[in-house]
Amino acid sequence: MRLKKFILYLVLYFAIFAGIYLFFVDKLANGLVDQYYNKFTQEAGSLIIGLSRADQGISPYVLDEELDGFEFDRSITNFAINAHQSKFGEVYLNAIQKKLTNKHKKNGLFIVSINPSSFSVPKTLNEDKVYENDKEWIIGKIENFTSTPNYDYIINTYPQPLYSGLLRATRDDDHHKIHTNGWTEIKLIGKNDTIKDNDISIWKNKNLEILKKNIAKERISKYRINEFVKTLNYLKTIGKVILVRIPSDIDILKIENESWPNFNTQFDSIANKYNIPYLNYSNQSDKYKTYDGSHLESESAEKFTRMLSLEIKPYLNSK
Amino acid sequence: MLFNSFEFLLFFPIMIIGFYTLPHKNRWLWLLLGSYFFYMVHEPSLVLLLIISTTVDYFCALKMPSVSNKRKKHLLYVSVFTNIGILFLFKYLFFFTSSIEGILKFFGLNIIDTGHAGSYNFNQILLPVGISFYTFQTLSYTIDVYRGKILPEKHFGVFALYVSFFPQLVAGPIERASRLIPQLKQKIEINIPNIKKGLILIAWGLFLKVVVADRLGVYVDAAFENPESPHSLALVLGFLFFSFQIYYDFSAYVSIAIGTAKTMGYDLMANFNRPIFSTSTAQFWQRWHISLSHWLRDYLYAPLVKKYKLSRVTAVLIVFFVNGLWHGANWTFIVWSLLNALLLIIEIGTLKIRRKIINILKLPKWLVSFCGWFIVIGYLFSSLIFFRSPSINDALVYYKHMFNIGSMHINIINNYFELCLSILLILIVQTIHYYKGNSKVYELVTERPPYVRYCMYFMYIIIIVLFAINRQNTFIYFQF
Repeated sequence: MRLKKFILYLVLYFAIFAGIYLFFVDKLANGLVDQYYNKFTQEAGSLIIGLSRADQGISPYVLDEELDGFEFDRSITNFAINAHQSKFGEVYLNAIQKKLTNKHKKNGLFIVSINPSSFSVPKTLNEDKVYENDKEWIIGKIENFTSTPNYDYIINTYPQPLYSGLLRATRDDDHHKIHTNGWTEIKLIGKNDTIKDNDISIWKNKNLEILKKNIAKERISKYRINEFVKTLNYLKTIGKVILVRIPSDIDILKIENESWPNFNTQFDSIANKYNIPYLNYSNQSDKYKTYDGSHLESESAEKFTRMLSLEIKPYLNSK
Repeated sequence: MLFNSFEFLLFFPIMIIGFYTLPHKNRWLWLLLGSYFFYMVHEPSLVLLLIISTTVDYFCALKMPSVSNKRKKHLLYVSVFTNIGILFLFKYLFFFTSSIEGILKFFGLNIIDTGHAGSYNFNQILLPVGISFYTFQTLSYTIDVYRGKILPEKHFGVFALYVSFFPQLVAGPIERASRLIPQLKQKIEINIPNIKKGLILIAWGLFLKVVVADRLGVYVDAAFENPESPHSLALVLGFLFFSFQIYYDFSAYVSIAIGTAKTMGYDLMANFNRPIFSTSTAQFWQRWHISLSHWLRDYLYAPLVKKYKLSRVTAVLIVFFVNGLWHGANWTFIVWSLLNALLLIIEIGTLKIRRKIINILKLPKWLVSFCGWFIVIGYLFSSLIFFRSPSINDALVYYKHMFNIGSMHINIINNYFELCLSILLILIVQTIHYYKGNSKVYELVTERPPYVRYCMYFMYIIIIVLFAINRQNTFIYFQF
């Protein structure tokens, strides 16, 4: 009798535990979770793929608006994350496949952004360990990429204690807006202050230092290039693929070009081989403004996406 | 399988229910199968090593009482060479070859052609989880049988369970056969107060891991990621936090291990006894990772001094060298351990003169204890910089920038609340350890009236749900 009562209490305790946990997870899931969450909360027919430059530099709103009269599967989601989460590899390809639902697998538009960082790995990491390394990313830890709310994301990858997420849900960052279609918008002008040229210059210099350090510590991975080609092949079977190199500051570009001098030629030839357009805007830094040398600020991102839409139109069919 | 994973949350109740439902004669099989499953979740193929160690040691020990002394010695050698051989092959081969290569390079000799070096791929050998723990555990068994301290276990299943008992398989405590095997054979009846104590210890361990150690880990990672940081105070806080992180992380594992075993009626040995309150290095090592310290004392230090007549200083240096090497195949662990040995040797060498000075100056006991504590803990904690750094060079850079008094900025995680919470949690845990020790934390709950207990249970849920760091980090000592 005593044992039965004890087991009953234990079961009840764990039920209360699970209930309270799920209550707070649900509360968090329905607010602003973090910078990545909105990339995993909707089904997508078309995708923007790449690292942080694409995450911040290509707006799905503008693509939707500019390409309104053209046929491609909607909705379009910005599924580019950053150099710590979404370099080319089996893990990213698997996530892309899960993000695209069956009913859309016909006529997608896939804007694939590339730069040298998309293909790098730490020098200390062997080629056959890259996959295991990538499995530690968010996209390697979750199975669900399309649900709202996405409990899988919060339970398996949300790195903060739940209390901090609940507190943050009530606040809104003035310069940093995370849209429901996955686009991360960085605005120079906030409600209370404006990011000045001096700030931008400081951030750019910091970014240059980080880039130099990273280049010294990293190498180009054959695995990533092979997986990139596999990704292109897969995307080609389900829609139109556009390869893009997004503009960045001239000093950043200089370092990148020094680290990989024939980058553009190499990817031109890959694009030719697979009959994919490669739109290289890396030398158009004077037309767009970055907030740190690498990433386009909001207005430039919209301007760039408009120009990109114009260039994409010839590759799409009218409605 | 991690104790702090959802898999364990399912595995554990199944094991307990199966254990108490089955008759006594079948329980060893249930626990053995469960233990092997527990191990195989991580890397199934490596269970073969566990089986090899178990089989070799079982048969070597079984033969020992019936053969001549010479043959007995041969059997011991077979056991030692098999276990140490596996350990060397899977844990130290790459370290050994790369160290030899480094030394030869230093003298201008390049024996390995860099073009072919990659083909050896020693660094690709997978490190079996907990190999150092179960190797030492099973070695202690054959040595004890050889010394005639215990009789060999005849039941292969029970012996295999002793080597692989899941609560302590991958990170200890390193149990002696004389303690654990009789318990494994003993008939266990359901004992609710014992189960409660076990569950409270598990809950405490989980709290230590996901709320305290992993939280400290966030700051530690930020500090050690940038050893060239100009924020010297942040570097100081970084190594202090790491010292508590590794303590709580390991202590959490042990607490869950002891608690898990207790729910099935088994008592594992305590691995910590308030080490942070030690006032001397010798005392620290009697209170920190007790099962390893005792192992090294009984199976290495004692023979070196008694049988091979080495001086105490030489024996201490050898023991601490092995201790460092046991922790990991990296010079950083060896340097860390030898720094500990250095302080211990100084302590032994200056004991008489220190006592004289204290008597002459008539220093109060509390002041002597406080000074001892401050010096020992400060020194031992700072030596952990080597333990945490990826290389000796990184550790030296860390020291250099830490002592370069620069910026007083400490908030390197951009979150003052988390920083203050981390410090507060250390104070709370240390207070609890001070009053209750490491292994009787359950008294905090069991000695309260029912309504206070229920409030504590509820508060526990809220604390874990809201304040746990969701990193699903493996325990630090898993890598050893």
